[in-house]
Amino acid sequence: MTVAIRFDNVRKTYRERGNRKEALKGLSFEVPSGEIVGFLGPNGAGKTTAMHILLDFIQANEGRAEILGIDSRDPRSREQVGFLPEIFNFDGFLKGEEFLRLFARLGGAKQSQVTGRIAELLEILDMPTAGGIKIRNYSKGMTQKIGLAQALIADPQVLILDEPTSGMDPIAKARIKQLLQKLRSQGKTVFLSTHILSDIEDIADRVAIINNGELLAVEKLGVLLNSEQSSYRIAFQPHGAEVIALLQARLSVSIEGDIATVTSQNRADKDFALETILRHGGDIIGVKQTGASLLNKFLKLVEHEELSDDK
Amino acid sequence: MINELALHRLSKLRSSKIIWVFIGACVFLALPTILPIIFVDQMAPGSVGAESAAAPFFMLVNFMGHIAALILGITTWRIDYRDGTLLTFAARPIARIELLVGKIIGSLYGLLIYLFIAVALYAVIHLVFFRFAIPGVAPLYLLQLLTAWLSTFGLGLLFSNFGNPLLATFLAALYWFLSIMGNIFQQLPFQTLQVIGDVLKFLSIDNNRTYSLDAILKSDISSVSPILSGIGYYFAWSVLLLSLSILLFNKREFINKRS
Repeated sequence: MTVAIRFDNVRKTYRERGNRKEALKGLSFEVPSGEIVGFLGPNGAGKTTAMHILLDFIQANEGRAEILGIDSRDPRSREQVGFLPEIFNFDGFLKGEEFLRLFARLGGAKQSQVTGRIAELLEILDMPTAGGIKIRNYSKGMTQKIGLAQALIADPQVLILDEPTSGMDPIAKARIKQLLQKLRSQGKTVFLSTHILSDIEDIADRVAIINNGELLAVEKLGVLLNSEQSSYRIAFQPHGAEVIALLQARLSVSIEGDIATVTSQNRADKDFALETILRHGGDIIGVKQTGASLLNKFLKLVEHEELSDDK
Repeated sequence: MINELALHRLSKLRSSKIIWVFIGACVFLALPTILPIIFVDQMAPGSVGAESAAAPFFMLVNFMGHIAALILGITTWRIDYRDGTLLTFAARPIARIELLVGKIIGSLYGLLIYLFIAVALYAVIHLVFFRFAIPGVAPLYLLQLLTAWLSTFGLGLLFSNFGNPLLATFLAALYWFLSIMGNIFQQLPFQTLQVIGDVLKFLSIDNNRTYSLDAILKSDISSVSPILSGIGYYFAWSVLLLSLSILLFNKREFINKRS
């Protein structure tokens, strides 16, 4: 496994009004090449600080970060990097094409390939005519897309994206997710920070969760979700007391008005409950699986379990 | 890569509102200084020399040049920092020094364009209305102007590290205040106060090796030596201020101000 991004015991302390705030407390983890890695954490957890250290916008107090084996303080570490900041903003007086041309040149792209590359990216991002429009006339979603095009213009090996789908409509979001998956299939690495957990669930191979500057988990998405206990809740309208008694003998049942809810902690118990209800009289209103979601795992890890959907 | 950054800075200047306000102010203020040059022959014969008639124009060019240099210095990277656009540049494989030097060069292109327009305008008026040769020391005078502006530019660039553009402008204005105070102290009768005046003048990046404008326009060769001294003085200040600015920029933390 080759490593695209490495954080090695990175510490960062800010001073705010005379107080010291430890933004990163010895962050260490690796992002393997060719994977999409979701970087999750509540606001103020240290995600943006970590990304900014990786791009040498700010300096760590201790430890080091690397991109493709090169220390992040060396500008060469950014030769194979495309970056989209959380709120992308660029000079509105430039037309989309002029902007992309500028960044292609700054990224060292060959002039002969630039025109074709710009057209290709604008086409992929579903804005083929936007190259001739000034950025100041773009919508929020278009601005974000041109920012993504800028990150991709030099065909980098590593993409660092901070909230890439912010401000985009559902179709554009789906298109971006498809694009990121395609990039992964080409062997590119995507390091993605977002608050939209469903995006991570849809496309990420691995998830790193951070809170209060500390890494709480870094794991393959499947492994992370399997470690989460699932439970099932079955709501039904019982036809008599017998079915309730049979279920209560094995499971937890709560009754509100004429609706009963039975909770099972595993698939076998769920099957037992469904069979009992159907056999002994009851109209099933709904079955809900809770627990095995990234949201619940995330909430548990960041100690906000009370907000999970099984509570 | 530096040239790409410089050209981008220049095109950003072209689209900047403050630059158009500046150009408007220059045109508005230049008219009353050009008219005496044009109509000097119609004035009472001998009352005003052709050279003296040109002095207000050059004083305006000089003063507005300092204003331009200050604006350019303060905004060289600060606007990009405020907008968050600096991050997009900094994420490219560019060393910070390259990033800043590119932007400095772009700003200096702007200053050179200003000087070129002012000189071209004067040359046209001079040749059309005076029909005598431009003095040979004029290029030296222009070089002194440029180095003086460069030191003001360096001041703006340095102060832009310490806060928002308004604060930077205030700090620069404080330097001009120091210069005025220096002048006052130097003229006081007590030697100690005169020394304080000298120190204030030194700190204000102003000096007493002034431009000798009349001498230059009259082709007085004896004025060349103080000009060379002035060029050296302002150049030394410029190098110091620009070096300090680069050093601070290199240590600066880039944080997305809009996130």
